[in-house]
Amino acid sequence: VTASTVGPRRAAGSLDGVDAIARFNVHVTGPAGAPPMLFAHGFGCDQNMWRFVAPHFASNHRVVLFDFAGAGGADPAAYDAIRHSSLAGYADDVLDICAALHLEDVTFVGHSVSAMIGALAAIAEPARFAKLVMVGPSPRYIDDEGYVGGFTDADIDELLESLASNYLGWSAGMAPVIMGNADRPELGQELTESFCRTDPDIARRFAEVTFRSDNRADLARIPVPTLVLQSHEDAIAPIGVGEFVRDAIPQSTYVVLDAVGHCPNLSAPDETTDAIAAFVDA
Amino acid sequence: MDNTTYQLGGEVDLVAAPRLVEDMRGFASQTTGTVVVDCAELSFLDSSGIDALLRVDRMLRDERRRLRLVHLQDTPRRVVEILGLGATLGVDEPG
Repeated sequence: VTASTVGPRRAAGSLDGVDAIARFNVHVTGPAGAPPMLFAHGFGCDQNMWRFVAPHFASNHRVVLFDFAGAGGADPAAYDAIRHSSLAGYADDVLDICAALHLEDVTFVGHSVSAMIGALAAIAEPARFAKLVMVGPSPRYIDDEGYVGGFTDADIDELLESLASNYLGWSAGMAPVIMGNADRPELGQELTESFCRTDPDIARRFAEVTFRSDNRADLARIPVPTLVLQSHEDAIAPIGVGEFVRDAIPQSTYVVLDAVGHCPNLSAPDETTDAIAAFVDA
Repeated sequence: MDNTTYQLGGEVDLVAAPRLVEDMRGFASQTTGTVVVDCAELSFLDSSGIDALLRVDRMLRDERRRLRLVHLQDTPRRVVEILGLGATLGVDEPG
């Protein structure tokens, strides 16, 4: 949105270190002194979404996985309606985890909405981060003058209304659409189950924050080299959005994967891993 | 029917969805403006079918065009409503 998104806002509500590790179900693998990689999941998912990708990096990186408030094994009390009323609150969670683990020169890998959460974290504390990896990012889902996000206001209104009124039904139908790869229904089923493990009320609020965010102006302020990974036939983040992100970030590297759907980390993990490794090791 | 109306009938499931995308893309390439899909004979639509329609919708939006589903029966309409995609897919009011 604007500078106010990432302004001085960490005075209140920050968690202490031990709390952050327990609250966000943090798991760390890899050598203690190795450069850290922090993997963040997207809406309706949890850290399991990285299970085919993250282990590849654990031989020479300190790999950190976690669940956002309301997701996976995070403490339900970690969710704060005020703190998490904008993506900046989720970015604060990321920074709390970094502080708790004393992480420096972090490569942050964010899927979907977490790509923008990582961007906000890097803008807020540039010294903490070395690189960003954005998988299927979108800085704004709603069309605007001169910008095609892929959805209209009316689209999002109805989507959120349906999600709120029948979360399980919405999840079961929408997860396969988000996943793509209709010929591999087990992928959609996995995402459906992940949606079902997410607290419905928090999911509704997180969806609202996600789909109504506008972080286009923040892209130009990303202070570190950033890899943008774009899939084909992504129902959530179309190619044009990936190109917008590429053009708006000062130090961007753009890779269009052969993968289809919004979750290449699950549907095409080898290709996703290779692209991330090439960027991280460069 | 005019030449921008696509007739969609039967059941659109995992098997039929890829063919639908291909066929509708071919149809769209030969027309201009909004693509109206007459669903009067459509009896079943699952998430594969929704995915197929969304893919066509995305392609059309890239060309600043839209998809519009008309005459949707109750069963497939319910699927679209549960997913909150009525506005996205340009579904008309029942009746």
